[in-house]
Amino acid sequence: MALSLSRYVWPYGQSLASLFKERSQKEREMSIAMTTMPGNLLSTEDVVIEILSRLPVKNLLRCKCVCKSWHAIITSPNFISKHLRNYYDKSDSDCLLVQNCVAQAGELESLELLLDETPRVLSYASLHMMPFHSPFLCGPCDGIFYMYRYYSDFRALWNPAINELRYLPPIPNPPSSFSYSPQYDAYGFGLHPVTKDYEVVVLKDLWREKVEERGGRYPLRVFVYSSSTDSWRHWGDL
Amino acid sequence: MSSSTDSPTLTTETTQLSPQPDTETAKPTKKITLKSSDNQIFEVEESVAMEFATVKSFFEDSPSTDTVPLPNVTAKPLSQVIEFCKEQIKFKANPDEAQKKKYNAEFVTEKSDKDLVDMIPVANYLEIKDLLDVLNQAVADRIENKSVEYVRSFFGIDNDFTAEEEAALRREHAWAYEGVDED
Repeated sequence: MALSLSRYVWPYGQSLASLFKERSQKEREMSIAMTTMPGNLLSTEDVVIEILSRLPVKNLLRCKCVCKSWHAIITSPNFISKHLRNYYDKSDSDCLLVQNCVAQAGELESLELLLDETPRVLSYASLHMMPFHSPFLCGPCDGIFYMYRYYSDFRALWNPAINELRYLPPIPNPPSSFSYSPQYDAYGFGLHPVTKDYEVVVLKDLWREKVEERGGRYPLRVFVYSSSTDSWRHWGDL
Repeated sequence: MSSSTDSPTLTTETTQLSPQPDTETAKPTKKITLKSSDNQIFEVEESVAMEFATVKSFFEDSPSTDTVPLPNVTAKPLSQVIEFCKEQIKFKANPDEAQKKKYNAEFVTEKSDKDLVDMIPVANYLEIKDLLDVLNQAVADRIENKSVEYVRSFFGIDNDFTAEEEAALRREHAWAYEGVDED
């Protein structure tokens, strides 16, 4: 980055000005030598960030392999939140998720995604790993969805813009002689305003493992998942 | 540029262009002299120069200066930046959003890729926010939906990934490389 012009301004009285004139002149020459180095004029990171933060996600995924410094910029949390802010600031960009049953032998469900007003139906190849069969969806929050599938204890965070799915680790085991009741999770999902962590809160119903011991009310176990540690913590019991 | 040619030029210019406030009272506006790194002299109205935040603060700190050296700025982008700022002054006097938008769009459309890329560091250095916005958006528009190779050559960036690294990155989001414009 270039030196600021104010560097050449001397805070002394006019009488001293001439004394410093020569030195100031030398500094100028030095700065000329420094700033006329050949090379890429757009090396300033700020400028690159400003330009890239205006591009759609698909472009950014490609731009990650332009060079190492671009890769570092695009994957940095600051850039990501700036990009998201730009995206939401544009009044004409809409993100709409449509959960649609695409009858394929009556079995498969698929999601149709409208991003940047461009409908993009996710291909079956990209859907391959996704929990599209009756998932519970929650979100979006800051561009991210929480997905939960009941029958296989499946939980994940999904970023539809880059089609990335992050599987959450399993919920910690219940204490001995207890199990979780076969209820659906009670869950919530949000972005922590301070830590910028995506957090998922899940409430699990505890009951006695042995049927004959069941009865009465057992506490609800509360777990909080945090994306920065990629782990669940036992928040407490209700 | 060598220092031996720089110093004498500066002295001559200062004598030539020292402001004469007494004789110029008839003139409505004060002129300010900007000197590019390749020693070209630009005389601009004070109102135009004050659009450059960097120049403005320079004058606030040392009001007696007559020539502002811009060691980071070459003549061509500087002249284009001045052209843009002159128009913005007109829009400040007579606000017309539609006309301003039209002008800003035309300003970037007629510029070559190189002109745009060269102007950005200048607008950045001189802290001309409006122009920087216009330029950044224009460059973003020009590289949108282009291939990685196109983007690299647009900015003159050397690929510092190994072939294996690049291939791995491309595999990571293979779908993002589909449907890209022809270079």
